[in-house]
Amino acid sequence: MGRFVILVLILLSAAGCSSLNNSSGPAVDDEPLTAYRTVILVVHGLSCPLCASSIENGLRKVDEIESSSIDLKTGEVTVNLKEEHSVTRARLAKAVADSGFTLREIRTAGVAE
Amino acid sequence: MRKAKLLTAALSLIALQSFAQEPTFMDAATHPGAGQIYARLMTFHSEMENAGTGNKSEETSSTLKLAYGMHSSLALLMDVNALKRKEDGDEDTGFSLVTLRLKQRVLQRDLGPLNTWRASVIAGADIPGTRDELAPEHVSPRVGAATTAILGRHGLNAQIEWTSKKGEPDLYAINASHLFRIQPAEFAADTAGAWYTMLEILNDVDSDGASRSDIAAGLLYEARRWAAEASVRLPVADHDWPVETDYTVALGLRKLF
Repeated sequence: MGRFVILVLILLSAAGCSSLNNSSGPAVDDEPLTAYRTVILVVHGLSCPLCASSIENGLRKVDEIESSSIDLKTGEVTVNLKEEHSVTRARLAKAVADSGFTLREIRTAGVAE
Repeated sequence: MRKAKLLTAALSLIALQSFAQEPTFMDAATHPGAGQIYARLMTFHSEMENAGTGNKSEETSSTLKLAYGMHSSLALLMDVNALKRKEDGDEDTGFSLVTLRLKQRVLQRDLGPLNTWRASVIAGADIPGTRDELAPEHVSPRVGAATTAILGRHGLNAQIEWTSKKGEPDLYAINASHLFRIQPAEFAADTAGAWYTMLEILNDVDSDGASRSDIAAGLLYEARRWAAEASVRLPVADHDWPVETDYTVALGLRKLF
């Protein structure tokens, strides 16, 4: 059992020290997106239909999001934001990272009226 | 007995109301997102022969596999296995085992919209169930690692795991698989689901030198909120393995909450 505990500790330490993850993607600033009603998140690693569901679940936790749709071929996630929202780029980036994928870019599209 | 059947039925219903590119019989480096639960209900049917006694037996088991995303790269895995065994006219049913493990992602390279390469370490233990006849007698620690690469229509998995069994030889599992997306050839904006073939090569080796190698072939349909799978596992080679399995049929449902 002692052998097992030592092995687990080594493995988890290796995991904690690992710098091999690139899921955070490029640095995203905390700029508010209040001027936009629609943004497009370019996400990498969406390898299957169920992965689309995973990222939808993650985005659902952001109250300011009205709806989202995913194009698996391009990795583009179109996010429609609620009126008078206060969502920031960093909040959207965190939602993508929490879902286990890599955010490559945030494109702004529809301007709020 | 009745309680066990009722619980098995209840677990089945939960999963029916209820991830992916994961093959049927081995682990992959897939994780649910933070705060998400991925449920999988598997039913296995096997016919086997005890190499020592020559007794034939049949086993039908249901396993509920739950994965909870504690963090985007750390998941808690729990498997609950209920088993019904028939041997020489005797029948026994019970909960054979609960497995608790932690899965830590140690590598993630998302190479494009679809392509990714991931690896995880997995550690935990098998905990004996309620029935001595069917359950292992001691807690059995398990440590392993899995890696998954998705490249276009191809999914490749490899896994290695060590299980320490008190009073028995240690067990090493060395597995590999290939999944191929047969339909659609390319994803589109409106893709609702995908069909995959699964081919697994499954090897068990114990510290006394006994070994067995199996092959499994199956089909997986994955929709956006659920998936279904069917696979058949057949023996290829055996060296002093205590149980000779004729075949195993597996059916499964997967759901992401």
